[in-house]
Amino acid sequence: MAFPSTSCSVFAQNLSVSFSARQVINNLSVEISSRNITVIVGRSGVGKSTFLRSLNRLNEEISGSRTEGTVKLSFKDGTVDIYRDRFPIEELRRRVGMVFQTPHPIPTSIGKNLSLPLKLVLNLPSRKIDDRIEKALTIVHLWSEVKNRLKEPALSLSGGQQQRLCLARTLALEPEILLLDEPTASLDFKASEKIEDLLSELKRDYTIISVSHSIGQARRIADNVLVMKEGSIIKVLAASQFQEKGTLEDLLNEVF
Amino acid sequence: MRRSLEKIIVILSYASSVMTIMIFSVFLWFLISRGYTTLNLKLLFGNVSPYGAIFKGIPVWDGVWPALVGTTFLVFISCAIAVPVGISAGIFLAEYATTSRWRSFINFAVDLLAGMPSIVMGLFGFAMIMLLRSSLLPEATTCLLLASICIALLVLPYLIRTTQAALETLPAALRLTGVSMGFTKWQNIFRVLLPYASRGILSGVILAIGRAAEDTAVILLTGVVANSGLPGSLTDKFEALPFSIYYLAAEHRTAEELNRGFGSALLLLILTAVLFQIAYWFHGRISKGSR
Ligand SMILES: Nc1ncnc2c1ncn2[C@@H]1O[C@H](COP(=O)(O)OP(=O)(O)OP(=O)(O)O)[C@@H](O)[C@H]1O
Ligand SMILES: [Mg+2]
Repeated sequence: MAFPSTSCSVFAQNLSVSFSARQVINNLSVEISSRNITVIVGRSGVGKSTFLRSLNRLNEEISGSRTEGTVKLSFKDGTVDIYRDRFPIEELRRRVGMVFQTPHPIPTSIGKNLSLPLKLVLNLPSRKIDDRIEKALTIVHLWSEVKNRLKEPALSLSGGQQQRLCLARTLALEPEILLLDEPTASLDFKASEKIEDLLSELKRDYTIISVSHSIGQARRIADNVLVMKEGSIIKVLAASQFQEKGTLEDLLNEVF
Repeated sequence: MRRSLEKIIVILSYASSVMTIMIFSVFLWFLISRGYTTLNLKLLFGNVSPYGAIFKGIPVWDGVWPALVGTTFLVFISCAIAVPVGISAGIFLAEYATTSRWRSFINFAVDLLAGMPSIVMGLFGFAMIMLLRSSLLPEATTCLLLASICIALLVLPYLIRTTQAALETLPAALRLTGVSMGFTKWQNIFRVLLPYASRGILSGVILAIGRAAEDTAVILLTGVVANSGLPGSLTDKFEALPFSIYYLAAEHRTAEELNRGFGSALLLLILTAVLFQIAYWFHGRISKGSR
C-alpha cells in the first residue's frame, strides 16, 4: 500500500497490541502529519504510552506483548513499514526518539548520559560529541544549570532536571520523529512553558507526538489532538477546532 | 492496637540489629582476648626473618605465613574462575533465558548446586583426580588448582543468584531506556542495567570471598596439607588458614598452642576484611570507569 500522503509521517492501520492476552491497543488506525505537534489525550490506562511504544517497536522488549497491524513511518530518505521491512531496529529507534513518562538517567555522570549514546549509537568522534552535548543541553535550557557539573552523577539532578536531561539525550541523537510521554509532568509551570516553546520551535524539524494530561497545554501547542479511549483513537481534532478557550474542554467532556 | 503493633515491630527490629552487633563484638572480643598475645611476627614467620620469608623465599615451618598466602591464592584463583562465570550466568538467566522450560531447568541446577554440602564438593574434586590419574594424567594429584576449582563451584550459585536477582529487580521501565535510544541488547545490559545492579552483584562477590576464605571441607579433600610451605605452582599442595586453625586447635598440647589457633583465626578475619576492601575498591574503580 502506498503511503497515504506526502505530508503524513506516521501511518497506523488496524494496529493491535496485547500484553499476555489482554488487548490494550484495539484496531487503531490513524494518520499523523509531519512537522506538526500531535497531542494524544485520554484517561489514564487507555494505552497512550503503549501506542507511543508501538511506533518504535519498544513493546517487543516487554515480555508477553504481541503486536499486529501495520505502522509505516516516513523518514527523510524513505518510508519504512516497521513491522514488515527488514529495517535495523536500533536505527529505527534512533530515528524515532522517545522520552518516557518517568525520566531514567543512566547511573553515570550527567555528561556521560549524553556522550555514551552518541558514542555507542552514532559512533561520533569525541571532538564532535562535546559540541552536540552543549547544543542539546542548551536547547532544553539545562546548559547553564549543569555546565559546571557535567562530571556529577545524573541521579543527583532534580526530577525536572532529569526529565530535561533525558529530552536532551534524545535530541542529541537527532531523531526524525519525537515521541514524548508527558514531557512536562514533573516540571514547574515556568519550565513547562519553556519546554512548550521549545516544542513549538522543534516542530520545524521534527514530527512530534506527545502525550499530555493538561488540556491547556494541548490547546497551546497542538496542531492536532488525538483522543484515545479503550485502545483506539476515537476522535481527531485540528487546531482550528479548539482555539477558543473552553471548546477543547467541551469537546473532550463529550467523549470521555 | 495497630500503633502498638508497629511499635513492637520497630523495637524488635532495633533489638535484632543491636544483637547482631553485640554478638559480633563478643565474638571479636573472645578472639582478641585469646589470640592477641600470639598475634605477632612469630605467629606468621616462626623463627625465620620476615624479610627472608617474603623476599628470599626461606621456607617457614612453624608459622602461618604459608597458610595466609595459600588462602589468599585460593580466594583469588577461585574468584577469578567463579566471578566471571557466575555473573555471566546470572546475566543469561535474567536477560536471555526466555523459554520457561530452559530457564526452570537451569534454575533447578543452580538450586541443587547451592544446596550441595561442601564436603560433597570436596569429594567430587577428589573423585575427579582419581579419575584423571587412572586415565589421562597418571601423575595428577590434589593441588591448589583443583581446590580452587572446587571452591569456585561452591561459590558459583551465590554469584549467579545475586546477579540474577539484582538484574531482575530493576524497574521494568529502565530496561527500555537504552534500547529506546538504539542501544543493542548487550549495550543496554552492559551500560545501563549492570551499573544499576552493581551494588547487588558486589554483595554476591563479598559472600563468595567470605565463603572461599573460610571453607575447610572442600580443601581438606583436594590438596590442603599442614606443612608444605608456600605453593610454588598451581599444581602444588598448599596450606590454608582455616585448616591451620583446625590443625592447631585439634593437635594442641599447650595452652599457648591453642592460643596460636585463636591468633590465626584473628588473622583470617583480618584477611577477609582486607579482601572485602579490595572488592569494594575494585567496584569503585569499575563504576568510576563507567562514569
Ligand atoms: N508492561 C506491561 N505489562 C502488562 N500490561 C501493561 C504493560 N504496560 C501497560 N500495560 C497495560 O496496558 C494498559 C495501557 O497502559 P498505558 O501505559 O499505555 O496507559 P496510558 O494511557 O499511558 O496511561 P497513563 O496516562 O496512566 O500513563 C494498562 O491497562 C496497563 O495495565
Ligand atoms: Mg502512560
